Amino acid sequence: MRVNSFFVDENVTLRWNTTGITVAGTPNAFGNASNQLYNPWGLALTSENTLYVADRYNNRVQKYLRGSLNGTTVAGQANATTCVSYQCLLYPSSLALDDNENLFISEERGHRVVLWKKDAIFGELVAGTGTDFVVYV
Amino acid sequence: MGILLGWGNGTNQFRYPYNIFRDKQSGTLYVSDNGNDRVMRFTEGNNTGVLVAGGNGPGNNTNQLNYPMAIYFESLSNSFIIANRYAHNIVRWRIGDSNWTLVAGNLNASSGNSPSSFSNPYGLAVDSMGNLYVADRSNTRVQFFLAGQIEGRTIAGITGVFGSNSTLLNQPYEIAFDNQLNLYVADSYGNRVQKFLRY
Repeated sequence: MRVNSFFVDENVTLRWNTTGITVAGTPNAFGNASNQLYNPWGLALTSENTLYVADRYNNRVQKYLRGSLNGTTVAGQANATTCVSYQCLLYPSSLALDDNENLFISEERGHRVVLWKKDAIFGELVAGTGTDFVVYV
Repeated sequence: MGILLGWGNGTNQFRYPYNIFRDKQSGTLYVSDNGNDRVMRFTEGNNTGVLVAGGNGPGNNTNQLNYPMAIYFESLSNSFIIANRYAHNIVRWRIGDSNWTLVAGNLNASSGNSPSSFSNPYGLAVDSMGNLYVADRSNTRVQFFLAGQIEGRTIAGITGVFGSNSTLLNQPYEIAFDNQLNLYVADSYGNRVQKFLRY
């Protein structure tokens, strides 16, 4: 194991174990089961170390209680489907939590920012005007 | 005929929004609008944004951004730290200014795998001491920069070695820290999130 220490001042040492632990997803096995991810992107953590992950190609956001590898879907659809409605996400890219665990989500291909309040089953538009679904007229 | 609706470059529109940063005090939301090469500010309850960085087309000049990815708003200096993807650098853009200044990476927008270079920097984080952390996607590593320094050190992954064992990464997109400064890495093509314990 490599050891890197960074002495910021006499009180602080910064160093990390260079061997990682998987805390979400199944390495090299993408999918939409509760223990899988498909191209994860945005991350957000609460003060209790609850982890939220923007599960990009699964069009959902997964929540992991500390120590659990099984995620629950808190935004979008657990089965990874997408749709033109506020019940779905389209390529979520990043996350921001407020102190009440309400979740702001940017959608790369939804071209919008939505707010999913804690335990909500649909999002509310915060900014942006639409998706890049092709609409036939 | 198929047409695309809803996305664009209006002040109420995005083109591939990639990162949001929310100021917890004010509720103001900042969004990196990647395809429009700009950063927008949305005050709480307002869905019309105000341009705060970029907006001059994609490019490597100091008045331009080139596919901005992660953003971090530093309230003390009233400025953004921006992962400037195709310029392969990290820049600081003070609100009200019309130019960025270099924080890390190469001024001439060249990519590389040296300790002071990046290749497609995607994610970043700044700790309470002002140290900078960068998810250096195509070098498949996480770089650490002591505050004010331009020479980085690798704290996760091995430069240029893509993989899925416990010491390697496969194109990290984003990083985050918990209260104990343990490092979390969205290991995008590894389809996992890795945690690196601080000790």
